[in-house]
Amino acid sequence: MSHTTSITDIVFSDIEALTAAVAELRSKGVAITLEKGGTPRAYFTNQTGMGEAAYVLRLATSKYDVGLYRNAEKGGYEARTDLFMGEVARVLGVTQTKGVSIERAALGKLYQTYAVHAATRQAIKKGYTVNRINAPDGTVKLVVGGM
Amino acid sequence: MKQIVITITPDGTSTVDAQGFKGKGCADASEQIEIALGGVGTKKKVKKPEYFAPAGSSTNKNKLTF
Repeated sequence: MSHTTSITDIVFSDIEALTAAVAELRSKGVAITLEKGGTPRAYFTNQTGMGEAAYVLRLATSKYDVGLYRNAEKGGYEARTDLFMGEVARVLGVTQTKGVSIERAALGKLYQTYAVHAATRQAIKKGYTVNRINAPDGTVKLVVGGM
Repeated sequence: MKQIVITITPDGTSTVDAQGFKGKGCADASEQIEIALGGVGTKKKVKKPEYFAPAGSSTNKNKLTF
């Protein structure tokens, strides 16, 4: 073994991976669509930090959406949403575990599915093979080989 | 056998574990995957002893570079 890297802060830098993630979530019954541009719905019409977004993830069964906003420092887009009344968490959330923020858990399904597709796409781009294992506890393991 | 095992928890927290490498080859192999997962400057890396071993040899300690 050589090194281990923990990544706790997801930024969306691969829109094709995001598109694939949305497709996977839809196949699992999540009513979500990806739109380029637009304004995500929030409690207030002109909610601070929730104006015109680069991309909007529309949640048909929620009152609110998720907006993706450019974060040049991190080299991608960061997700912003309105967590009021658990509207978004009801659709995209996972059980909050120790050390995980409410905000993170509320968008867990989105973050995990995106991470799976982003890592898979990047590995394949480098010519590697990827074996995906879905564990019973909800964790996904990607075994990357062929290097 | 060289491989990279990526573990992604239900909340999207990812751990990238480069296995079977010697030297900095692991960094070359996994860096783009790490960036794809977490952008730039958002990761915590723990180097294992093998990281500091010369690639292709585990005996020539004189060639160690840091």
